[in-house]
Amino acid sequence: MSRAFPLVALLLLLGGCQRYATPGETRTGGGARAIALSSQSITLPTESVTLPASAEIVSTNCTACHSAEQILTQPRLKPEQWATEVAKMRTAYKASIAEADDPKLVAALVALQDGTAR
Amino acid sequence: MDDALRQQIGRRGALALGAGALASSPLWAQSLVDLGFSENDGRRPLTDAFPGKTGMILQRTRGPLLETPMAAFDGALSDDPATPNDRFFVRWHYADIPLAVDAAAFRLHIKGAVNRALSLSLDAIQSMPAVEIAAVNQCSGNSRGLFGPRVPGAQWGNGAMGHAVWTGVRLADLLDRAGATGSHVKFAGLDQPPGDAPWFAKTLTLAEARSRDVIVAYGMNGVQLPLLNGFPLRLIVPGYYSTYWVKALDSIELLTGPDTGYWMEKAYRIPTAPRASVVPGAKDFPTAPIGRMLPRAFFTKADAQAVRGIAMGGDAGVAKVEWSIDAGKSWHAAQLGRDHGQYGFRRWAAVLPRGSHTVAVRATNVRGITQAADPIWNPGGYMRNVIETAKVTV
Ligand code: HEC
Repeated sequence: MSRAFPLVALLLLLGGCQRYATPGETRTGGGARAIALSSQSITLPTESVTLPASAEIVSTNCTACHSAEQILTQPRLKPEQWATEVAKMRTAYKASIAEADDPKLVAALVALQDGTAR
Repeated sequence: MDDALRQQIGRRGALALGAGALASSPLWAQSLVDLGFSENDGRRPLTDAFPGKTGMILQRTRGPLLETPMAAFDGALSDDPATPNDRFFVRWHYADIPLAVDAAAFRLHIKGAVNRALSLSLDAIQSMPAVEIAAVNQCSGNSRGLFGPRVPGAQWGNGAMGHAVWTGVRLADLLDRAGATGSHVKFAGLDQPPGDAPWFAKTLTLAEARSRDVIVAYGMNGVQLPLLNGFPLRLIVPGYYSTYWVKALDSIELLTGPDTGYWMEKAYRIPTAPRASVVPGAKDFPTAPIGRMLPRAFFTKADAQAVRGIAMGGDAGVAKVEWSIDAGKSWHAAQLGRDHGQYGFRRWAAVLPRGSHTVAVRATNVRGITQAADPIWNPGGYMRNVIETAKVTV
């Protein structure tokens, strides 16, 4: 008999019967053993979204760590906001983006959102 | 409140659900979903391409960000509110995530300020007393795409959340076995940063970590976790945002002071101001790490057949869910489904009078915290819990 039994019985008696109210110990250890743990391995799909050729500078600098959707799904950002993002990639995530490229990168990111990069 | 709700309805035209989210045919049968964002930029493909996942909204392929369509949460009042594992949202920061885990070789390390450093196999963990708890796992940035003004980051609709029954062992039991000392507990998993980026790790105070509701789970809705949701072990911190629910957990480190790493000091921080809200564009305000969740109620269906959804209390149980069809002047109690515990989803349903309505729905938790109609704003796009509305003719 597990230690949890009196508690479970009490809850049932009280008519509470809320199986998941707080972590309650599973009866006779069955719950734990019932969950079989077996090795897993998966293959992830390859990405299908790419940036236009004219945004090559963005592809080169911005798709090493995340797929292009990270950039394409952003709401319209002002040039200053894009500049902040580029700087964040460098300081927070140690992206090796040459600072001299920032103006060109920001312009390319803005053009991407404007739809002027095709 | 009434004015705010009226304004919100006027401005956003009750778009909270997103057009696609309410489509009558099953969402997974369509190829696109529309999350209803302000710049008309909410269209996303639905995908079955990720192993063990079906009909997910594709936010980002690498590292994977998959959102649950609202229709996947829908059900009658009497239905179990658990989100099926194959529809449960997926959120990794870095692209290098564990794609293969050998269950026999895996070890959970407990180290740092402990009397006995431990290296535990899954067998050893499963031989400890098992506990289970139903709890909502919600991303800190859930609903970020609905912020106004918009903020950068993953543009989630409302589906970066899910309810599961988690089975595992109490973290306190593991800490006792190791003879934990110190003041903070740092958690990290098998995912790895690109280059020199900071390792992903999150930290709780020892007191928070010792809460009886915090568990290290190996089961999700009665089976092992999908790799994409953190197999083989995931930290479950009921009532707290998902950022602390470290996936593929393999390291628990006792610290003698706060964690000064990037993911605690710089990321996932909210304004200390009430409702974590500041004036749009504000900078240099005091911040704190994000923590406890807030009450929310969502529509999963709003049509002539049914007006219903799910609610959560945040860090406390749902006390009531109410609906209004007069822009918040009067509120009426919704019917509630079964209580699965203070941290779970609670189903709700409303019976509306005939007519065409903009219906608002709000949840109140047992602490008396309720939802407000005026949206909050912060630059991280965190903690949105504004009252949702939907248009319906019954
Ligand atoms: C060294 C790796 C790396 C590189 C290179 C990189 N990023 Fe990122 N980026 C990240 C990480 C990590 C995140 C956070 C991902 C998450 O939280 O899921 C991120 C997030 C973002 C976001 C979301 C908003 C945010 O601030 O979290 C945007 C937008 C973004 N990156 C744009 C860019 C652009 C534009 C470039 C090229 C100039 C770029 N990234 C290059 C690592 C990188």
